[in-house]
Amino acid sequence: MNASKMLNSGLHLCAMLGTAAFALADSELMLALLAVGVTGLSWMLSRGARVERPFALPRLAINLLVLATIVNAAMRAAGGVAAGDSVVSTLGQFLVFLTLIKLLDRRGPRDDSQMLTLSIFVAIAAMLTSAELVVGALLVGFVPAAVATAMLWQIRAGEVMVSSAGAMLAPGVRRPAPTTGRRSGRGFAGVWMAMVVAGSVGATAVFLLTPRIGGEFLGRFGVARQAQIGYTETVRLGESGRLSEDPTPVLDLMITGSNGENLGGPAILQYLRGGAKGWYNKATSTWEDGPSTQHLVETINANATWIVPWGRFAPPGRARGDGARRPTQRVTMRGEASNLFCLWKPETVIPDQTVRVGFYPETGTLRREQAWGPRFVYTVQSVAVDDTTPAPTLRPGFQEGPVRSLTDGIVRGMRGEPGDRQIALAIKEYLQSQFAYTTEMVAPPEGMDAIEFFLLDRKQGHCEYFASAMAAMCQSQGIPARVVTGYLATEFNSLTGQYVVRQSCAHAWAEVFIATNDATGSGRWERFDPSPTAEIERIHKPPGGLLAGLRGWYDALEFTWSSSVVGFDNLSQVRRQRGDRDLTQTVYSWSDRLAAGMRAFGTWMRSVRTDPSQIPAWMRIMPGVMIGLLALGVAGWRFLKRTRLRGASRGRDLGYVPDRPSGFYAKALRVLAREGAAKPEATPPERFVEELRKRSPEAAGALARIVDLFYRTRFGAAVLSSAELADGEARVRQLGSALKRTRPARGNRKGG
Amino acid sequence: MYIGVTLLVALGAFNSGNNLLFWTFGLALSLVVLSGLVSGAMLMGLRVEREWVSGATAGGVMRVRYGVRNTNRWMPAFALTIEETGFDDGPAPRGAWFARFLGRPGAPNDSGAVACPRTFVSHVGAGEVVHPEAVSATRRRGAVSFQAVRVRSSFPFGLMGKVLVFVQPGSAVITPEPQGGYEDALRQGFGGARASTPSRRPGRGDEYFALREYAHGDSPRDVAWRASARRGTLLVRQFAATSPVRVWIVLRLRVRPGSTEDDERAIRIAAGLARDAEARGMEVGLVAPLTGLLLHPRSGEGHLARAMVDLGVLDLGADDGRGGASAFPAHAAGAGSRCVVVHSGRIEAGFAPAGRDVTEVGTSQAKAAEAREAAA
Repeated sequence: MNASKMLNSGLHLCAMLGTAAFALADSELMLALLAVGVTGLSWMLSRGARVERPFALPRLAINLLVLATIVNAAMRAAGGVAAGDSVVSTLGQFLVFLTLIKLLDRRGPRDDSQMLTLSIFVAIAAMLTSAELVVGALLVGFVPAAVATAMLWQIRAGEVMVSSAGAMLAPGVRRPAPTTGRRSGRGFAGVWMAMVVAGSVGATAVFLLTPRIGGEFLGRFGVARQAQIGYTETVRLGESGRLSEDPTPVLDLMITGSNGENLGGPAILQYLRGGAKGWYNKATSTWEDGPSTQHLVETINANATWIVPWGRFAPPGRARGDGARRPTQRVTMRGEASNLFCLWKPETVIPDQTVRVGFYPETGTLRREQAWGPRFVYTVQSVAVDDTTPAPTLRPGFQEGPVRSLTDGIVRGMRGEPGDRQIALAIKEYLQSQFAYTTEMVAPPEGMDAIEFFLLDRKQGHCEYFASAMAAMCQSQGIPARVVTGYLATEFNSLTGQYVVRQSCAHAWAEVFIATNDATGSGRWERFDPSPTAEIERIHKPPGGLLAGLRGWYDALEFTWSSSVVGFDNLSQVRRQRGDRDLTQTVYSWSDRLAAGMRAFGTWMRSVRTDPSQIPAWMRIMPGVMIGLLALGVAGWRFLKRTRLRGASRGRDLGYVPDRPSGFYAKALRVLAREGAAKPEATPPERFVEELRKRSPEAAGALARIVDLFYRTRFGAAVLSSAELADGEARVRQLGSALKRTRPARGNRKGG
Repeated sequence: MYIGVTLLVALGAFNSGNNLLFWTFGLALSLVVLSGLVSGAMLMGLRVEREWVSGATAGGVMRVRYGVRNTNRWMPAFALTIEETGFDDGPAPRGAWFARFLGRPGAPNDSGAVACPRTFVSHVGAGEVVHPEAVSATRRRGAVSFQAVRVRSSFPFGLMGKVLVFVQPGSAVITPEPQGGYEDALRQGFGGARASTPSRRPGRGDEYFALREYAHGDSPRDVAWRASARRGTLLVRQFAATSPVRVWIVLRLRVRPGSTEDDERAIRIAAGLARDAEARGMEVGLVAPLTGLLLHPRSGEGHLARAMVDLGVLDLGADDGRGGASAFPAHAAGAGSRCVVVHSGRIEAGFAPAGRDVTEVGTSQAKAAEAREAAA
């Protein structure tokens, strides 16, 4: 087994996996390419180098590179505050660059250990940055590589220790070679595999058993970046740019019927509602909540069924839509979003963790009021058709103006007395036939409304323009309408039985209120998607072919990773399974309390950060009190120690038994050496006393007494009394002062 | 550092609920436990024995060979550091760091003559025996006492080191480094190259001595055929026995403050003289007044080795300090032997008896000569 070569390869593998994982986690493709390139180049250069002289760049070049890295990190940190970059991202990039530099500066085992440590730090930074499957896969590869490298380093460091000891020998002396037995490679592989397996088992045990009792009490420290939701609840028109086509999955959706049958399928589109806005602000070209929109915030306990209280807001005597289809949707959020998505008006919600939810009865939407962890799963049951909705208040804004004129023209072209649905259908057909779909967004001219610009001038836009135009045109005819944002789920994965919803699936459509009961004015909101059907199908059509099949497998794997690893929560699982009160339940009830306490502490910390006046008075003085107590303790200890020594010097017997009775003799030798009168090793002490007498009789007298005490303790098995011990110490001081007085002049010291 | 990072990872995991960090935290804990278990299990089955220690000369190297046997049935052993205890640069005794912290370093082991023998074994398979060898630079002459062999390993991760000590007392001597350049002192008065002169008694020398009648057992090669033919009886040649030159090397040590360097130089010169004398077939005797060193003249490699060992263990501290007042040893004053006196420092007139066949060498002169050579 060639430990040196294997270590070299292991270090490069660790560096490559760690840096690549971080670069992918941080979405820095160039950094990933750079990392792979540098590690590959370094490996090729270093494997050809001799063991005793490894490849390394000159010191000057390394120092310049490190300096450049520090400057880059400082600039990035300074700019990142404004840009909103995370500290982990900045720090991780800094570590990546340091790792790559260290690859080119390996001169010995110390550098190798630093290299490995840096790689591990980079891997941890990758974990802090992202919890995606690709990152996880790279890290799964990183762990065995790091374990092997650490083991190889232990061997290599010992070998270098022996060879460096040999380097100190005279030239021509045969150097000792590291000794190794037979079949060392096989033995190493066995131990390595055992380490990886045992370590993984232990890690998994800790992973499964450790209660999740955190609550971001230290802010966002440790929270990995999730897939970002491409969807935005706010519909803001009139901005130039291009729509995102990011294929990152953001949620998984499973739809089942009342008998548990899967209602999803490859050819079935699902409109997943997020937010709905019916109030258009022309000044900002934004769809907003109306000024009178009311909402209710509720805390839903984990795994508890929360019935959405529609009755509180509906007129008395109106029942919910009995008999309507109520599909059950299980949504696995992979990232953070502002809404709880569902197909239609939600009736019951069962979250897998305790959440605070804002309920908007007017739009039939739910919003999150509190951030959740890396994964959030909820089951929602919604009403597909509900005729009991009271008539909403009509929004002002489009009763006059060019939109009204345009819509009037369409309505005038219709035969007879068209109803609200016919008008809405006519508007939808008009938009789909006369307007073009594009993902290219162009800002309207200064002073022109975005909807009017779309309808009258540009005549092309994306889904938000179509939905906005339809809502505006309906409102101009006195028909309540609103813009709904959410996702269009088209990609059904047969392996998981779920829809994979990606960022590029974000969509907007319109909902129009169709009155069904003229007497009460109640009716239902119906969905109208005015975007050109062909274009929408083209854009949202799931890919086909072999790659699509592979992608389906990858998605299934990613879903498993996301739900089983990233989103694993043992507390939730135990809660779901536990029935009778047992020990586990008791333990977890305590852990729940602890978690609640920590969350409360975190909340308090956040509130204190914003308003320091909330800190109680006793807590403010606590640090001072602690420091005072500490100082008092130190002072007391020192006082007691001094008293004890004084007692000894006065000759009182305090029961002190010296552990080193000849300590004063050693002190005396040090004093002699310091004063230029060191006792030679070969000279007996008593003879040295006579020699010292020539220089200072007083010092010789002191030393004679010290030597006498020393002989008694060393050879006479005597235990000195405290008084004798103190005498010995005093003689040492006397010796020092006597020698100082007879110290030779500086010029003569050498000669003397 | 490892513990710090592990705690930080745990803090991040609990704070955020990041499951990857939880797993990493679990892995970090597992590796600590595994590190302790594996290093302990590896060492449990090891048996180490100091097999052999080479002879060593100051300024050279000393080789120590060990036998490392792994009696484990399945478990191989990796990354074993094998070293001797009780050396200045060897492993610190237990609790030494605390003594240093208190400012009371313990008395150092007096084994500065040689660097701590230390070697490394990358791997010993289960049931296998390997024989690593430690090579240590020797610094000065002296006796080296071995106390115990220590095996340590922190494999696989360096997190938990384990130590096993095998008590195995032993000793070795580092002989002084012979200092040459004093052959003249040996040649003075001896007539040059040949050290042996024919004596007046028969023996096994090269010179002809006499003829005598053949006796049973004589070698046919020694028969003098021509003379036998003339006399009519079988005669054999006899050779004169050699009479080796006997030389006493007298070490005149000072053993007083500041004389250590001169004393050591004198010992090195004496070692060099003994080596050169032996090479010339002389019988070498060695004496150092008042140190207890007395070696009667003999010849041969075994005798030279004994002389070197005696010089190696010569304890300057054993002198009671009256070296300056020592008298010329009577052993060296006998008739029929030459004498080379090696003075520590200057040649002290009056030490060696006048009128005898005595050559005197002083380390001060040697030092001055060396300095001149170096300057030239």
